[in-house]
Amino acid sequence: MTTAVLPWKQWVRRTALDWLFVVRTLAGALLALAIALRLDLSSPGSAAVTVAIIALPQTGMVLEKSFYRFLGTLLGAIVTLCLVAVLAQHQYAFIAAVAAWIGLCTAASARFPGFRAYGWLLCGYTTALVGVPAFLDANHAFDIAVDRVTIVSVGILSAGIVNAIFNPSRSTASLDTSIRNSVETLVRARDLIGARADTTTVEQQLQRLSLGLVELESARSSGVFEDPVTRIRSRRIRLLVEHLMVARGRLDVLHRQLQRTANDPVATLLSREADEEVQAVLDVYAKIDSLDTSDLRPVFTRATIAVDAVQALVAGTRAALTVLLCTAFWILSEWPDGLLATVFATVGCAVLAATPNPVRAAWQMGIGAALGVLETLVCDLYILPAANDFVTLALALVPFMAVAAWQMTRPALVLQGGSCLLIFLMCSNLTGVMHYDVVAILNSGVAALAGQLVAMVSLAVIGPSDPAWRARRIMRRLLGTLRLARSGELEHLRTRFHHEVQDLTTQLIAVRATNTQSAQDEKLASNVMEIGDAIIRLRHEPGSPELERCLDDVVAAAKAEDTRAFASLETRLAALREPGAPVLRLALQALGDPRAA
Amino acid sequence: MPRELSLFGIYVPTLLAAFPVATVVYLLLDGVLARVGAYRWVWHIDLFRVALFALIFGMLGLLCYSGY
Repeated sequence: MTTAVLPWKQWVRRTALDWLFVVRTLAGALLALAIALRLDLSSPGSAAVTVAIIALPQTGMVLEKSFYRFLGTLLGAIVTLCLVAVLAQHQYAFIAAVAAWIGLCTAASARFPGFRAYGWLLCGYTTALVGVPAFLDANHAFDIAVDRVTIVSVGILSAGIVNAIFNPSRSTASLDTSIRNSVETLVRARDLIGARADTTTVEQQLQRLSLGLVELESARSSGVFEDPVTRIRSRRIRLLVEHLMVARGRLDVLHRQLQRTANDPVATLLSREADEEVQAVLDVYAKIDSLDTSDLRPVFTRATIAVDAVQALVAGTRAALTVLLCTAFWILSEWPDGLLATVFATVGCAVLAATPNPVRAAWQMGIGAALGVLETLVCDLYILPAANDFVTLALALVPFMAVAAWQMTRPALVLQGGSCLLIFLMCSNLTGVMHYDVVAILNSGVAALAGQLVAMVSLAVIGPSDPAWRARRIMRRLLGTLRLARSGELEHLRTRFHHEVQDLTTQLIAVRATNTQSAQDEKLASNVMEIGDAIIRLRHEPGSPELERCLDDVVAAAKAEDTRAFASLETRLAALREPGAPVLRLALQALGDPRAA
Repeated sequence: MPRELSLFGIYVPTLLAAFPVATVVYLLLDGVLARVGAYRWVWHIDLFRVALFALIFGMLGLLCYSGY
């Protein structure tokens, strides 16, 4: 009987959570709108737009995103004021400086993980959003900048308070679940390997652990914003993640060794090491709830860097060129909504470049924008004129916002719903004294769509951005970790090495849309992990000149390979592991295996 | 206390200055409460924290508007 009840209960719970999300988003947006109208800010709709942008399922995520949104806006506003102060008389130099700054911020945003990337992005486009009006009216530049920061702050505070009070899903709760799951998965993987379970089962378990670790890290970084207790526990959790990564790597190496030969000295040694590392994980896990941080060692590893310098440079250049092109078209054609199109193109470029399938994402956002314009027309022409105070205004907006917010609860429609809500709140032009102007609505709607179109085109035309290219870049860095293993400083080298390989592997899986490719990626990552692990082990042994040369050969082989096809690398790496291959022979020798002779 | 402060020659409401002060006091208090484990006894932690901040900020606000 219970099996029949459980899915039903789950459905009710999920639906309730979805509708609570809709209610929260609406309440936050209306609260922001009310405050902004009361304070008589220039565009109260933008405060509600902020709420829509930071609407996320968990409290911690909302707070984290708002934190970086605020910082980005503040820094962007300050930079804008400096630019206006210096270049107020030079139109072209000002545009060039704004384009360069946006390019710089986009490049920086590509280098940072999670919501920090978003903060940088925002820092760039705030310059366009504030800078252009401030440039045109330099005497009021300061007021315009303060107005923008106030609008964003009102939105953030409203969303934060509504979320803190009405959101039952906390990042801290999912953090605890994902810690428990990760440790359990690790222990199960160890038991499976110990019981010589078949390869697919073990690999599935190890992959689940990798994905669990990504989830854990994002829950931790959001949870820190949610709750001071999590902030205190954060360092211990990061330590646990470090241990989990090393343990996962060692289990992987052990598993591959056992597949080749069981019961040889190497396997015994690897098995002992893996057990020690799992025990270390369990030791940290035993005290995971403790608030006492005095016994903790420092954390060795840094947070993930999402892409390499080349990719960041490409993203930055693309953003700067897009801004230049858009502003050039805007100035030459004297298009009244050119600024809006520029902003949409810049944001679109950066947001879309990070998605696995940019064209599909652009399509979804385009549909959302079109729906948003349609909603705005209906609402502004037929319903809003009947509203004569805030309550009726809210009643008029709620149905339209609710549809878009509900779409945001569906994973497949997230981008569409978000884009729809954003365009609706922006184009409705909600101010204290309403102006009903169909032409203005259509103009800004067209500008938003045109901006997204430009983003799509510049993604396709300026520099490579396809997933295959990004995957190749990540693979290059994956092979580069062998160089770290070869010549990195020995202190905590194993932890750093496993951390990097782990990071890059999960990034690779995230970039790959298809599953067939991702199995190959896993294999490559395992190869790199195994060879790197062996190299580090050998470096701890007293080295002979022959050994040194051999290690250099391995690294050189990996380095030479990364410019060519990666398929051949697979065979090259396999050859290195053959019993007769120098690396393995030396490894065996170092471990005192008689077969090495 | 005066209702307006002169900040680099610009008059700003004292409440604007009180806000960051309240934030700092709140963060300190929040940290201490977390460290001693007081939040284990709280039902709705976020509501409690919002209320805590409202209390501190309200107190500072009353302080600068008292005597009028």
